[in-house]
Amino acid sequence: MKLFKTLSVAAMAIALVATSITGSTASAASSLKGKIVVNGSSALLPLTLQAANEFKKLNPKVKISASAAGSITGPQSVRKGIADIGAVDWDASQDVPGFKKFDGQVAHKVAVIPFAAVVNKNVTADNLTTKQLQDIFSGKVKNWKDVGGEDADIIVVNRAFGSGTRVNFQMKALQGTDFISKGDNYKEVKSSGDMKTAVETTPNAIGYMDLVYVTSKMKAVKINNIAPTEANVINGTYKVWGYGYYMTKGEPDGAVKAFIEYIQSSKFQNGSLKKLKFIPISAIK
Amino acid sequence: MLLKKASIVSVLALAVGVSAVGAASAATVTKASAVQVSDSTYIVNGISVNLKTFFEKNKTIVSVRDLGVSLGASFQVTKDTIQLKLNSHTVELKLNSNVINVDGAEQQLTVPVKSVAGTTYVELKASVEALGAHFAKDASGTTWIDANLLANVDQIQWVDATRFIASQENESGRADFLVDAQTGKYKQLRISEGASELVVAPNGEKAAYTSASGEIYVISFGAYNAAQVSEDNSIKTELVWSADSSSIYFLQGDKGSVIAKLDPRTKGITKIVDDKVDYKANLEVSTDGKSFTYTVTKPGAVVADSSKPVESDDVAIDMKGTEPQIYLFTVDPSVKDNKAVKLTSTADDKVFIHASPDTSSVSYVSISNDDDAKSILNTVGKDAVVKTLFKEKDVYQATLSGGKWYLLTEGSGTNNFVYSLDPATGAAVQLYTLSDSVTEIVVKEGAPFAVINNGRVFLDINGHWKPTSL
Repeated sequence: MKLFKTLSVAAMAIALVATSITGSTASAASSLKGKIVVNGSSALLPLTLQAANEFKKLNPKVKISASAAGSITGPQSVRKGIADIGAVDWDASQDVPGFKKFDGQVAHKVAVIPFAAVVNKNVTADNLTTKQLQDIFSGKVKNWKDVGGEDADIIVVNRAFGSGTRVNFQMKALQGTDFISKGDNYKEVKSSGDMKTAVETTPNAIGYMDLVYVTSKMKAVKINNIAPTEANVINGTYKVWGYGYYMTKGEPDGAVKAFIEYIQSSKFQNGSLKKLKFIPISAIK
Repeated sequence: MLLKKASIVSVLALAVGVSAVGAASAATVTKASAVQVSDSTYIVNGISVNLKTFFEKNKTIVSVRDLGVSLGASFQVTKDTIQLKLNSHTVELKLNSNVINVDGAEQQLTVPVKSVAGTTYVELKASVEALGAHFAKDASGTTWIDANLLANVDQIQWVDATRFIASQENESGRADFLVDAQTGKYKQLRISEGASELVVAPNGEKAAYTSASGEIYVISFGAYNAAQVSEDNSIKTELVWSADSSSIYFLQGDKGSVIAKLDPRTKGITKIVDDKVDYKANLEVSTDGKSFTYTVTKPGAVVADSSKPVESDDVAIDMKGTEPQIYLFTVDPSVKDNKAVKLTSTADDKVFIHASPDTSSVSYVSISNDDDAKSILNTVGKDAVVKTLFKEKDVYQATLSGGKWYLLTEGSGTNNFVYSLDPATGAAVQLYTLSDSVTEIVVKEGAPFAVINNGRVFLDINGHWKPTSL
């Protein structure tokens, strides 16, 4: 660089005259140190690892390792003291269908996750009301002809107990009513990937998943005549969505607090979080 | 990089080792009635100019005409009133009055507006600020006056030797501006809402980004228009331009598992690596487009028995081996089942990872598991042998430009140092001593050296730190 030759005489010093400097904690020269362990939701793992990759450039001495084995293992790991952050698809500081609240844990919103009810491409019904969804997933309605479709048995595909998607779908789409749990036309799957395969390949199937996982080989149905789109979540008309949370034992401090603040920052929320097709928490008014 | 704003913008004092062009370096002294008018050097809109000034009551009083012309203000002169307009501000001056009218409101001056030898003079700093322009004096005596500087810049990246992109982040999204480094003049780039960060092409003519729905767009800096160059709307976690700025490589999927190449002319996408290995990041491509380096981060292993009651917390996590490792993939159709080569297997954390243009080596800042150990610059070659390039100071940030590394490191006490390092010889030269409030250096070969200090951008222009954003 030509410029440097002219400066080789002496190093330049920037000295700050004013003493009232605040907010310099985001320094690349950050003195923040520590190790952060994040465990829990599979849906939130890509978000956590992306944020970790970026956060480390601001705070190189902070190490972040992440793992996922389903939402419930997040707050469990925090309670057990083997993780600093439990990633979970519901607010685990509150009781939800199937799970009691985790006392002493604090929930931090990190993302908005829309969910969709999905059917196999052969299903002609393209709109279901809350009542129809409740009846289908509880096993009361067993044939598509009773809910605006062809005469064919409905195959219900459900996520296994412990899934954050299941908790959200039950709370938001079914308004807390119960699922059927057995029968010839009932299938239970362990992951979003298995759900995708099951709905794509099983004629007359209905299931549910994160909106971002919906593929062109299936159909996401309208709920109460509202299409499951990001825009409809933001404008408040589509109700089947939830927040993704980071749970901590009490209020966080140090590196954990800084990492949560980073993932909640407008830079990350409007940048990488959107790129990963989550909805920023600030988009919900 | 995210930069936090200081709530109070500090005055930067520049103790410059090289001889400085002082603002008060009076050249010509003109005798005029009771005051001594002199030509003083200021840097206005990035250009060194002489303004007629004199001192009174500890204030610098400037020729209204000189100041207005150099700032680019418009004038309207009536009998005893001068009206100046700049940045949508209107300032009215009345001869012999110690009150000026700023956008309809009266403002008190210490020294009344004066006429000296037929020229009207007004307080310099007060009138600059009344016009919404910016006044900054550094410790070397240099005064920078800028008609309009961009505020609240969160990050910058160089486009070429004279222009950079400055980005502002806020609740509703991001705004990107193309900024002229010398004058500080800027123009907003119109890109779609929810777009990703801009990735500038090596030729400096365009940048790529992904839209909120996942398609790739390219915006031209000449025509300022963005064109959609991919139909594919899958999640793309990173974009990388080819060295000749003709194609765009990207990591595809929410887990960044696939390395793919887009030809923007045909919108055709070719998969290059699809090895089902998740969480690739830090993708770099060799100049010939045949070799790819990246990191892979392995999530931890969890054992949880869901048949046990939730209260039993039957969960175990093993985070061994989750540190990022560097991989190299070379396209070679003659090799059956061609696989990426793992270059590192060490348990250190690795950040600021960059490959040499031919990907013959990859360098990175290595962060030890020992909290008290210094972070050092390491390099690894195709033989997977790791060598240390720099270990003298704790390395905070490292960036590669023109084949050289630039390191922001700890200094001695309350300052930071900047080194340049030639990876071929290992020779490190200290370039700057900076305040420890400098959070980032932004380097491009041929462009001024940029630092971010308390959220403000400063450029090294001939040995002076030019304030380039507010």
